[in-house]
Amino acid sequence: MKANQSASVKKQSVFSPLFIFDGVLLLFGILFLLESRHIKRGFQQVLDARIYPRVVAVIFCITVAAHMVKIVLERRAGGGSKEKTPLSAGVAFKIGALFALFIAYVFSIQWLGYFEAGFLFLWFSIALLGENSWRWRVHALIIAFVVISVTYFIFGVLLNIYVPSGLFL
Amino acid sequence: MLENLLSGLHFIAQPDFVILTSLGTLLGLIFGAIPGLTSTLAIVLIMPVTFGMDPTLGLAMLTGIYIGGVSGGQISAILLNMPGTPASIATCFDGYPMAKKGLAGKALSYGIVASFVGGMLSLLALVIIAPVLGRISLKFQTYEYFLLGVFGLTIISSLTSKSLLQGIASASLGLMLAAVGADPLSGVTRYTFGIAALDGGIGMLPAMIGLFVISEIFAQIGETDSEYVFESGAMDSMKISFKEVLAHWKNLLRSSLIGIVIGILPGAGGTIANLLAYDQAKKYSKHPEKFGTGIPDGIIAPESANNAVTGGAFVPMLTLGIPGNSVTAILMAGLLLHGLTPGPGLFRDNIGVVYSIFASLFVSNIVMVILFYAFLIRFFKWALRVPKKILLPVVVLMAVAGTYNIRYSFNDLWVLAIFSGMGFVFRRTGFPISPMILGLILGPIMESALRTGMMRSGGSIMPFFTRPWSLGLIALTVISICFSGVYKRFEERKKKALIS
Repeated sequence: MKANQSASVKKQSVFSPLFIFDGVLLLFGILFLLESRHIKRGFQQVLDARIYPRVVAVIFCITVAAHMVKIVLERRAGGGSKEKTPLSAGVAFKIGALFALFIAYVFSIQWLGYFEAGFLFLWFSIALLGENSWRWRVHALIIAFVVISVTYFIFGVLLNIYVPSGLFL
Repeated sequence: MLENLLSGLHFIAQPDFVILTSLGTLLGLIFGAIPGLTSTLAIVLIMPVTFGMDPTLGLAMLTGIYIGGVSGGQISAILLNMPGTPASIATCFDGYPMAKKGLAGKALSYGIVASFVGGMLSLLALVIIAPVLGRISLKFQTYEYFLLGVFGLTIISSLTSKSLLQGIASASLGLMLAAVGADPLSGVTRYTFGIAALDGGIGMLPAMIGLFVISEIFAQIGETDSEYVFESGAMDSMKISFKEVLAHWKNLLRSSLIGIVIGILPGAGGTIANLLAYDQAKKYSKHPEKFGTGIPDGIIAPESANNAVTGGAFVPMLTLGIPGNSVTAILMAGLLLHGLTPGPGLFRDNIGVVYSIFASLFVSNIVMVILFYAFLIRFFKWALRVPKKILLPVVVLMAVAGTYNIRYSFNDLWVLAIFSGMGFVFRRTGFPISPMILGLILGPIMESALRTGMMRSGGSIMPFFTRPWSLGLIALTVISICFSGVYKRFEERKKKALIS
């Protein structure tokens, strides 16, 4: 029973997150290698436009594959480098939600404008990272308003930096 | 030489040069002092703002940020026992105990003076060594340029990564992504996957901001939820006499030398210098048992060493085009974006820029001391209370503005978003980021050098092995790979010994 358990643990540990990550990288490299077939030669040269990027992609694939093999060998030997402790559900949620907010912010800038979208991003993200209370959400609203006003003054008035204009500013 | 030094002095006399260097130093100090924010981050954020400036002014500002960032790390190390930057880890060992004894002001003063001495000595070393090395590197041709790139990538891959394989994979990923867009020689588009937005290639700066800045924000949320509140009690006097400083001259000199040498070595940096100088100060001290209890020597050694790294780190970057660490890699990107190629050509074609960098190092070291004593200590007692839940989203806001301002392109914002996600995943998996950044920076230079060299030799690879400089660089690359293994073991042992 114990032997079976340890065997299953070993089998699982070979396919660690790091191994899977390397696998994704390898697929990425293969994708680039396949795409390199569509590159034109350019004008006649000793090394044409295809060779250098193709060689680099091959080196990338080989090193990633070698690293995957190294992980497997290390795991089988019972060693291997320490992996980071997984994120707690709460922190993972906050990171995921902040990333979603960030994407929404980047997407909405062209429709709403830098300051307007920035204000919404600040409000939601400060509220998200703080306590889960209405009081903090109101605080976050005030902070976002103050920060965006200061940013507008610095970027728009003092430094005259061009940022996408929007609904109001 | 004298004429060039005089041109350096000419920069110091320009008000806009001094103002921008001071502003950069101030920004660097602020970013360096706040745990989680680094000078790297500040440089990347401010770089787009410097585009419109004259290269000497833009680079002066960025250099100021670098100096300020390294110096600012001591504030939170001494007041909060949290190094503002990794290069201030050892400063905590004696800085915080000294602050707890009620001597925070004195501890900060020792740190500031040590930073100034270390910075100035390293500047002196830079002024002496860089032109000599620059003259030698003028003999380099395309073969050597390519091999210099290989050498730089190997060094950074081996020293900044846990595994050399991962380092090389990261560097080649950078080179691969640098190949996206138009071929530098024929203009043929490559790796665009039929997406028109990729025809212009991947913007180096949006990628850097995503990998370094935004991903760091996500990592900060993941690492701790703490709010850095400094329990500000009454601060003692910051006054220390010249005699008190002079009593530690041996430590100051030794630690600064350690910093300079480590700074010149590509791949090593402020963190190693900081720890090594502390260790050496302890070894040479008559009272090693007092280290860790809050003594000036324990602050002087790490702070003079980490600032001495700054001048040293410029030596390989300016003369050979090999950035020794991520900050100089980004500064190198700054030079490139201003149309200047670091390396041999810089000393031949743009010697004025080199001396303006020397001048900005000089100014920023002086300004750093003035700012600290004038108002920054009081400011930091307030600033360190800003909670991360407010600070982090504000940094994102700045990063987005900085990215958009590079070329007013929404595509760059998408590059930023994609590389932010990639950066976070890389951090979580321990995949090194610095070699990838260097690959992105060096990719076009290396490819052009290789292909031009091959055209000159009619397809023969023999010049790479028959030219003395090329052969020397190949030997250096091989030695560096072998050395990295030994160096890593040494570094691990040193860290373990110090922590225990």
